[in-house]
Amino acid sequence: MQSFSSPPHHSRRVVITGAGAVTPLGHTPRDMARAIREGYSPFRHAAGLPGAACAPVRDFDEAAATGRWRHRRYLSRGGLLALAAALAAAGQAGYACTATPGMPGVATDGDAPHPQPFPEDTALVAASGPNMDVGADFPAACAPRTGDSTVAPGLEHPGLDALWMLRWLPNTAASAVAMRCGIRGEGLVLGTACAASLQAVGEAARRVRWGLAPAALAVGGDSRLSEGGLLSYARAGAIQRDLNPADAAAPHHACRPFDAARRGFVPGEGGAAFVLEPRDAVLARGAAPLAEVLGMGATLDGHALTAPEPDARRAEAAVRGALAEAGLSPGYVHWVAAHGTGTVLNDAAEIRLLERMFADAGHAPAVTAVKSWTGHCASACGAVELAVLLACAADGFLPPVRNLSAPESDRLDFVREARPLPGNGNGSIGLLLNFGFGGQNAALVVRL
Amino acid sequence: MPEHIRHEPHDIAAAIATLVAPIFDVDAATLSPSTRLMADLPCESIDLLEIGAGLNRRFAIPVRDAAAFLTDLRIHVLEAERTGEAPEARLAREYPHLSAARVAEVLAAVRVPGAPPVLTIGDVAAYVAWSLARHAGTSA
Repeated sequence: MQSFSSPPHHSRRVVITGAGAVTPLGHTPRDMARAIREGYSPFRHAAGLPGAACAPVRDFDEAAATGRWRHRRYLSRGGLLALAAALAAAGQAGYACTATPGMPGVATDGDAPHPQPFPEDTALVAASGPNMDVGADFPAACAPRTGDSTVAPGLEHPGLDALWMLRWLPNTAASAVAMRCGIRGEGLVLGTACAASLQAVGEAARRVRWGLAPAALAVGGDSRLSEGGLLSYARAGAIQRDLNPADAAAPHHACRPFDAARRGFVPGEGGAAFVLEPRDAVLARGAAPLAEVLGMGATLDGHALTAPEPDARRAEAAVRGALAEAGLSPGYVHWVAAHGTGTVLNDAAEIRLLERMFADAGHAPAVTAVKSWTGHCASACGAVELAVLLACAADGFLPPVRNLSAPESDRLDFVREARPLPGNGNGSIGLLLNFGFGGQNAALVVRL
Repeated sequence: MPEHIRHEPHDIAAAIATLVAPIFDVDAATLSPSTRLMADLPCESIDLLEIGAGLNRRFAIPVRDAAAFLTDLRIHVLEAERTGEAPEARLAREYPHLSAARVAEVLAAVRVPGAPPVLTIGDVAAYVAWSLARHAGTSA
């Protein structure tokens, strides 16, 4: 193993040099920013669950987005979205993803002219959610015994691929990204529910910050829009399922974070990935950073298996941890990208947290909620939301909260219409929040 | 359930080509009984697993990987040499689906140092034909 020997006490500034995203709003920064500027709603009636809405990724050509790769079939849809995003991020950062001879690369807007392989010991931190697409594999696996001795029962059913389990293992997408991108340093797969991909960005940044890796790729990809995924949410009572299927406009109004009439989240899907590198090395080679990652904080509620702790005290500790790592106090934060799922409990707890940390101290950062544009992308939500915010920032604006007619708090500065990206000569400091089932809290501080 | 098929060796090889082609993202028309799985295609152990599952599904036969894919070929030759048995006899016993002429070819190939695995689509088709005949014999 090549030694990478920065002393552990020496902290480096960490920047994002490549971002890739496959989202319900589009697959390039330009498309995502334009979709929001034009007020495009990706929300649709869910075909698999009448009465529910969802935000699908449209126009996702798996073969085109992941290259002609014969092991593609071992990836769940979430895994495919992750791989597509990782290839795009690596390409934008100028790293080659041609581990397999003859493999076509993935075209992105910002491909460097002479892509290099990732440095030896580049780290990979992936967020992984459960594949809930039971309909794809298990109807065959669990076929009833027929009494016909020529028909194999249960898991012996020959209709299954030999390696069907790969679609269900939490690290298959990460393995695929490592193979395709040529990443061979430390690998981590985070299973911290909907906090996972924000934590992945933070953990990847820490590895670069503390000299544990010369570069790192953070990636998340998730989809729960299969029948199994939608049914699991519906059984848990987490999503609305009483939309009128005849009302074509109903899905567009279903996701309403921080609104008094909110009634549950709307599932989305997507993938996003970021290449993180030391700022000094990036500037030395003349590359332009997309953003700086300043700090991450993560905590557990230790309170309930699903519901958030109502006062969000441990979520607040995650925010304070992220700000401490960034060396900033709350007054420096220009904007907050809230978790903002549109569920009654999450948004109430999050409002308490934001009022306490900011309003009570006389600060008024702009508050937005990207899920109102993308739906809830589950374990990929943090990465997808960061990618959307980067796209909007590159276009000079902060996205509004859609469907916010009656804000639940009059002490927070919710973004009701797109507004210029707030900031000062030192950049635009943003705080991203994500909370997950099991009381997982994550906060990330960035400078755009 | 498997589709109805005629069990002619050529049809079996064509059916295997159809089954194998998507695994390697190639056109089935480019494959033939003489196509070598490990030398002409990027076949790895992970792929043999899928081919085995596919044969089981397509032909409704049990697939013993060691025989169908000649996986222990070198070991059998070494064992025969160690025990003084004629390698041809050993291979004929281990691979009853292969003709004497094919056993001789396989044996000649395996003795070339560094040569790629000899397994062809035709070998796999012979295994399937043998297994189908055996199954038909026992159930008759």
